[in-house]
Amino acid sequence: MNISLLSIKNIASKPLSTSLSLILLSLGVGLISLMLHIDKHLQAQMTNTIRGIDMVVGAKGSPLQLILSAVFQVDVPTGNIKLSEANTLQKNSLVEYGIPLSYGDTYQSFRIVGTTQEYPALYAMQLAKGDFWDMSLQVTLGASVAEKTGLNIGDTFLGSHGLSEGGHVHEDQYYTVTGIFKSSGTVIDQLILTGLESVWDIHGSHADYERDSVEHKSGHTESGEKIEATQTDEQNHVDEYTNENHGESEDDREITAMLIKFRSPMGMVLLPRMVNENTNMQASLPNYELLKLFSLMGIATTTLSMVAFVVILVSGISVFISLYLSLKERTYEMTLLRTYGASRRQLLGMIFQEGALIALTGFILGLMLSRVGLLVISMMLKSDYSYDFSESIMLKEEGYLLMITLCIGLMAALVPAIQVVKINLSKTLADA
Amino acid sequence: MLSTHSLSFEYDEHNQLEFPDLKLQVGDNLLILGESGIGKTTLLHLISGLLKPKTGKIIIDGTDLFQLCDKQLDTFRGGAIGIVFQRPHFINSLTLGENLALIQFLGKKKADPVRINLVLDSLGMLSKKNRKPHLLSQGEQQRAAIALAVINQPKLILADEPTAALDDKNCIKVIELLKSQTKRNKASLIIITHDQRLKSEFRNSVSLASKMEILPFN
Repeated sequence: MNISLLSIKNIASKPLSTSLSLILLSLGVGLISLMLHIDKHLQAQMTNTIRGIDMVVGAKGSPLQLILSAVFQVDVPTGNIKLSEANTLQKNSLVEYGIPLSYGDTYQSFRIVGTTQEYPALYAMQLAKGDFWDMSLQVTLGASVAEKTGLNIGDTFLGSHGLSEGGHVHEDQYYTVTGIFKSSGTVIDQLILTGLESVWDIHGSHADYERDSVEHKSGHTESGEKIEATQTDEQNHVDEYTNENHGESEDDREITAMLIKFRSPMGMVLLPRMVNENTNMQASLPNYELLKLFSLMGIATTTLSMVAFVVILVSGISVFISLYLSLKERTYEMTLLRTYGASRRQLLGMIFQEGALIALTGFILGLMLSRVGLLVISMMLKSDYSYDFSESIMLKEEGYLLMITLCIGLMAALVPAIQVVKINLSKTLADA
Repeated sequence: MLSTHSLSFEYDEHNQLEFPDLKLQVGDNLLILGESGIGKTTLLHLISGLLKPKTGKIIIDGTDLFQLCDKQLDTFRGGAIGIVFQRPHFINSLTLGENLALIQFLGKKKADPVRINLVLDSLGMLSKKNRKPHLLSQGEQQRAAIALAVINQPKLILADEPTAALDDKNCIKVIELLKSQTKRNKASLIIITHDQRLKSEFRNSVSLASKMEILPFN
């Protein structure tokens, strides 16, 4: 039996007030820790998603909406832009590469995105099985899509128009699955990728589509070459083919957005302004928009953090009241301890230990709470978004949180401790 | 063993107390009798080092109490003096056995469960070892309080009105218990009381009078 054990026994002997303090404390700590983790993971995920994309070009509208729709695939697009305009921009010497995106259809609320193979390459996607799409109306599925829909290689499905469920179904234009990506934790897990021409074909005239599909079946047709050209040499070759074969001018072709990487920082200075001022398109910088978004999110997380801190403070007060009241009851016990040889310092140690012990226990419970919360959130979000929260390492900020919590525990013990120092042994004994 | 020299104490100007010199040999028992308000408890607190006198000194077992610093005094008290209070008090969050173990720790003694069992057994309290002491009966609490006082084998056992609330039968029982425990632990016993029933139980007694004169008994 020693002072530390006595502290523990003292705490355990008043289960009600102890559990009240612990519940409050762990709630506060849990909330803050949860927020820290979510904030960090979101920022890391988002920053990771915009890696390799310096600028997004799309139709005029909200720049944030453009980023959200084209990069994160969560918002509706701002509109369409002319492929010819996007291609002109892509040929600019300041541009290293541009990846065209064309979307608007979904299958079971998974987006069907027409693009080039550079898009999956941007996120270093690897195939789990099968192959990349090769012809019009062939698709490669993200891992989550394959898992959720149960589609496998060779399966066919119908896309529906619009990004929400219940849109018009493009009847008898079946997509065929040619491959499935490995899971990567990126936005592509949630997407169905196909060639640009698929999207054009589906939304083009019915006749166009029929001719296309006949040509596809016959194998060595110009249409087949067209796709090859698209994949290797970007859009300039496509132009010729579309002009020749479909009798459709390039001017009529539209895409939804283009992801652009600059060759040099000079591009950052010149191109956005050029696009915004001289074309019908809008240029949006994901880095800049994300910063704006984070600062908006910051207000929300700061508010929540403040609420959580108040909860922690209240729990500090609860620890204080519990210590103070029990000490009033225990004045005689303290005197007893003193007469049996306990020094002031030992009693002080005991009081502070009780405060610190509650704080520490509350902190650990809070961390456990936040991990459970993270688990629940990650299970909930995994089905809807590509954001994975399952990693639960200890954050540096949680170290600070521990220190703050301990400080509050010790502060709560301060006044009771002063009372203990001031106990008049003789008087207490005589009054008893 | 114990000697006091010209002890005096003052709460304030109108409340000054002077105490007779006391001398106690090892193994001796002493009864200090006095009416309420005469300074009995003050004397006990002085002897146990809980209060500092205005003048005079107290020597216990060769140690001058008031030469010690606070911390040393706490340690000395824990090891050398066992106090039985008027009303028994315990650490409520601990069992009787844990209370005793804690006092061993505070008195800087080694944890000694054998000693705890021995003391409890000699008081007929072994079966109550794992009970919370404040939930015991009055008589059991009294005995438990004696166990707390003797567990560290102190040289000096001080008892403050141990019999005030007891009937004749229990009064004698408690005194016998105190005496036998003192003997068993080779200690000296000082009982401070206004209880005249105890006079016949002690050979040595000192009466405190308002003028602080010593009235030798028998």
